[in-house]
Amino acid sequence: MPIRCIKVIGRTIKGYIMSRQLTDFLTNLSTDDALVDAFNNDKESTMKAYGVSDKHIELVINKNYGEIQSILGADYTIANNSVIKAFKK
Amino acid sequence: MGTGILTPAHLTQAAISKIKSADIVHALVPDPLGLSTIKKLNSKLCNLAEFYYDINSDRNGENRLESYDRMVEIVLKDVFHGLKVCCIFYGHPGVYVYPSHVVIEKARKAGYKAEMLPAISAEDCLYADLGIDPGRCGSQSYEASQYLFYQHTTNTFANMILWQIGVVGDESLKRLEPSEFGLAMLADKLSNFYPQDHEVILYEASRLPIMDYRSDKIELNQLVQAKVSTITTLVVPPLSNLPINREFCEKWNIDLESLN
Repeated sequence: MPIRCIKVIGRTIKGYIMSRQLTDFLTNLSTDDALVDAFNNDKESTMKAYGVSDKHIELVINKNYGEIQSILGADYTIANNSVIKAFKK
Repeated sequence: MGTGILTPAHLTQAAISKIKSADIVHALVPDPLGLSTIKKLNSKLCNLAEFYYDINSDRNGENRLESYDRMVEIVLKDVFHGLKVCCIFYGHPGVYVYPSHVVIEKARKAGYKAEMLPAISAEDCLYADLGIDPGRCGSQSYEASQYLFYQHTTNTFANMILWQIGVVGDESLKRLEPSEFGLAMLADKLSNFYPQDHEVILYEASRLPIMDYRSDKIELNQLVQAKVSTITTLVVPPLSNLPINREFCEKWNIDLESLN
């Protein structure tokens, strides 16, 4: 039983670190034009050099945005923040 | 303040400064890159998403409005405790965001200094991505359900932008998808002014730097079957060129040649 727990925790931490690498890469990609040029030139090598995991590289190359958003923890159900009658009287 | 749509690219210098200097940051941001960026700037982060309306339980109120009011209370509690509070929303904090306006109004009424900083909204992204200049023939912008249920006028000479079509037709504020006949009602109302084959655009701004924006052109008669999400916006281009108001121009002796 304890061994199973350690395995689960280990996998969670590994998964967290992997998604953090992807988050950091995408965050910098939105502000670093040199990184954008390198990425456009060679997507796989640029992401590898950044420490993005092979699994996540594959998702990016295959444009699997739904899965990427899920890994990153996006929740666009909360994007609606307005109401029909905007303000209560 | 607002994160803009693509963070950190859209985050303003003024917003960064406010986030850094706050005693606590309250954030309602669906974008994980946005949340991660905010966390790096200030670790004292309260994620308001935890208080968003939960369709599967009543823990955050009976509809979205109640959950927004709860968020307002949570933010104001820190304000009234004397903390320097930074409240950050997705996009522009004052555009289609109910709680931000209420927080500011209540804080000011209670004698506290409160301000809203502008940010990049989805509408700003739309103009850039679709190449629409609202100055060219005008632009009308409505919340989609409000357009249905209230007596808004429809100007077919200008662009029409309808927001929140992902929850169109839902007056209960409980759903996070269109009501059963939401898209049908929208197509019905628009068909009073536009032909069935009028081309409309389903737009979604890019949420990741690796992702393109969505710009799906469909005919109005295909709207009912369209795939929409909580961030989809409908753009209805003008039906015809803007006609000159000859009577008015002649009354004021305007050179009509310069208007053609």
